[in-house]
Amino acid sequence: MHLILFLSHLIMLTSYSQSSNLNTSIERGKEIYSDFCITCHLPNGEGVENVYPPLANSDFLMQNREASIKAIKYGQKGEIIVNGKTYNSYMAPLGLDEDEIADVMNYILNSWGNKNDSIITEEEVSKIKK
Amino acid sequence: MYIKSKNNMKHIHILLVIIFISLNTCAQQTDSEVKAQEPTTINYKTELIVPDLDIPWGMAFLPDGSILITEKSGELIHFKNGLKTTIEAVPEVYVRGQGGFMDIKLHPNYKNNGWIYFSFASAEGEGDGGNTAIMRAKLDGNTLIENQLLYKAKPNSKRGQHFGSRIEFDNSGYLYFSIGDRGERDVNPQDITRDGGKIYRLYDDGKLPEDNPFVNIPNAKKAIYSYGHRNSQGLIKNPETGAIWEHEHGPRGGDEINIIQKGKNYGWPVISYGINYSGTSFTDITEKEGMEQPLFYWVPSIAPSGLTFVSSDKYPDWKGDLLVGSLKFEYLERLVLRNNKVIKREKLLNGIGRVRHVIQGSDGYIYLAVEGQGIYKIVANN
Repeated sequence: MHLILFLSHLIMLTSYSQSSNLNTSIERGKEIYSDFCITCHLPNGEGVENVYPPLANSDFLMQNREASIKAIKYGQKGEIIVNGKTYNSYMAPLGLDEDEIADVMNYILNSWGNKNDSIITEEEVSKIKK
Repeated sequence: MYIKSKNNMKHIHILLVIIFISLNTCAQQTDSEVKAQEPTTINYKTELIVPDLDIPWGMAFLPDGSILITEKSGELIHFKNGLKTTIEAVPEVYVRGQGGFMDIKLHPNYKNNGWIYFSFASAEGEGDGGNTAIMRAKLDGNTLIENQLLYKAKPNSKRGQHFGSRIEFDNSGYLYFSIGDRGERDVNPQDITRDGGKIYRLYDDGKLPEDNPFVNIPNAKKAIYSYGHRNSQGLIKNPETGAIWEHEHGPRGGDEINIIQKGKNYGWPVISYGINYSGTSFTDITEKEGMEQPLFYWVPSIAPSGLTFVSSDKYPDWKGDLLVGSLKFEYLERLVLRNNKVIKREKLLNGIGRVRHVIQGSDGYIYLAVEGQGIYKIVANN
């Protein structure tokens, strides 16, 4: 009985700390976003028609976790299709640290109607190669 | 007692709703008086002369017709006879956000002295991050030599915004350059004891001109020539008058063209025709005594980068006009001037891509650097 109580507390604690990790990461990511991303992708993640793809309700972002991290880490060149529209603008590598990339990913994956509970960590970002 | 507190709550609710609405109401902006139009006829076309570039930030023509091109990522490319060579011994570049390897400009007397000037984000000095630096060097084969750091803005910052960094010379040989506010709108531009949000003037060897406007102000950054700027990525000498013209990015709306005058305050962020990206306002005023009005302002913003006058005989239709690259709308803007007033605007090459830079080369032709593509030359149709 004691063991079960202990375990259930442990699970609650871990899940609490995960969601609080996610929340603090999102908070930091918001700062990064308004520094590095907002000029092109705009405050509500809507992007600019035909030039900068939207992040809000973006099928590309929500379905391509690795490619999205890669784009922020190494830049994005060449055609991509977002919500049925083709975009071909160049995004330079932003020079963000790996923890900052994780934070900004967590922010854009959980803003403007986007939702993703599975936190992106610095470790996950560090494993993504060119 | 219960009822009273409920009433209070109700009042607080109404108050909160009012505050919420007023915070979220978009500030009113007046569009530019002169609107950009599609050209009716265009007698020129483009030729791609340097392909496959990422972010060609700056370009300069050497006397032999070859081109030096800065890539924001930190490379200096020499394009000669159709081949790209990477130049060695370039400075260490701090690549983050809008910062990287940026402008490049030859000394007006390059043929005799060989000096090449460039700007870049640099991590040199104390503190995390970087800030804008100005260096000059000479080209020896495929290597830079005699590298001399002429200016380094302080302090370093990890912020990604507003490095400025265009370089220009006037008829007396003074060196001018821009450094943006580094994302510290309320700290840097109005404070002449701090770098950022300024246009600077030095002698071509980096020495301080004795008659710079703030040389006698204690603690002032004495290289400052004008202040109250946001982020200038266009700086050019007017070939007719010799005056230095600049444009600068506004936030959402409020990009400006200014003629730079010694010691003047151009008002950012106290006066502005722009609003925050979110749509809220940061200032209610667009003019104030002691602050200069722009020659022209853009609402909505075009995100201007690169600025040149057309002065050669290659483009009779455009002679005397200003050309400005638009990063945001991906075209080249032509502004027709009369008595220092913009009377007409035209969208040239609509959809060409993010125009990072535009220059009139020493051969009189107009060249533009387009992100993700390369360098285009504008030539007559036939």
